[in-house]
Amino acid sequence: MAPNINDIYRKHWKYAYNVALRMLMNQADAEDVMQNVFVKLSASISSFRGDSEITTYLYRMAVNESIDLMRRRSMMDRKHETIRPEEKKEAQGASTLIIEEALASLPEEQRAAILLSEIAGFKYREIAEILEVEVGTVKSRMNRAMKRLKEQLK
Amino acid sequence: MNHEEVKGSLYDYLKGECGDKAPEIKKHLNSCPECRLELLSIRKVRSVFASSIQAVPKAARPPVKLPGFLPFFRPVPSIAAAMLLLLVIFSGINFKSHTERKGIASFLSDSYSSIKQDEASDPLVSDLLDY
Repeated sequence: MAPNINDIYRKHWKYAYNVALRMLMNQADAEDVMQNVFVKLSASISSFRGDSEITTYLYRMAVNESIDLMRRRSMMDRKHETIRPEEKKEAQGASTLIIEEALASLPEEQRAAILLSEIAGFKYREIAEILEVEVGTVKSRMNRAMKRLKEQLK
Repeated sequence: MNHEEVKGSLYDYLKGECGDKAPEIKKHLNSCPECRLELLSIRKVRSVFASSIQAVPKAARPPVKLPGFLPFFRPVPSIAAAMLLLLVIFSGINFKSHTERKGIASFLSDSYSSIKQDEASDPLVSDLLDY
C-alpha cells in the first residue's frame, strides 16, 4: 500500500513538533526544525515503502535536527540568556515549566528516548528504530531518565 | 520476581511492555506499599509529560491537503458532471413528453376523423350538415 503522507502528518506532526519543542525548549527553534523536517521529508517521500518507514524517518529527523541545532547554537546557554524567568512564567503554563526544568537536567540521548516514549507514545522497539540503537540501550536510557525525572519532580 | 525486579519493571508495566510478567507485578503491588509509591511517582512524571503537549503553531504546520476528492473528481468538474447529468435526464423527460404528446395528438386526430366519417355516414347528421 502506498504511504499516505497527509494521514501521517495528521497523526504524528503534533507529537513530532512537541518532541522537537521539548528537545530544544524554544518554540522558534522547534518551528525551524519542523520546517526543515517537512522539506527533507517531501524531497524523499518517493523512496519510502510504507507508513511506518515515513513515521520512523519523521521522528528521526525531528530528533536529529533538534540535536544538531542544540549543538550549533549551544541552545541551553542562549535560552537562559535571552529569556528572563519572569517572562518565561508569563508565556508558558505550569506543566511546561516543570517539564522543562526536569528535562534540562537530562543528557540529549536520554531526553530523546523519554520524549519519544512519553510524548509520542512509542514502544521500546520503535524508539530503538528511530534512534538507530539497540532496544537494551533504549531501556537503560529510559530507566536513567525516569530515575532523574522522579527526583526532579518530587 | 523479587521486590527489586518488580520495582525496576514498573515503568514497563505502566507502558504495557512487561509481557507475561504483568500478573506477577500486579500481585506484588497488592502487597508492597513501597512499589505502589514508586508506581505513583512514575505516573506523576508521565502525567506531567501528557499535560505539557502543545498545539502546533501555524509557522510549523505542514501544508496538508484537505481530504476528499480524487484528482478526477475535483469540485468543479463534479459540479459540471452533475449539471450535464441533470440536463440529459430532463431532456429525456422532455423528449418522452414530446413523443407522448405527439401520440396523443395523433390519436385524437384519428378519433376525430373516424367520428367525422361516422357522422357523415349517419343520414340524420348528413342532413343537418347539408342544411
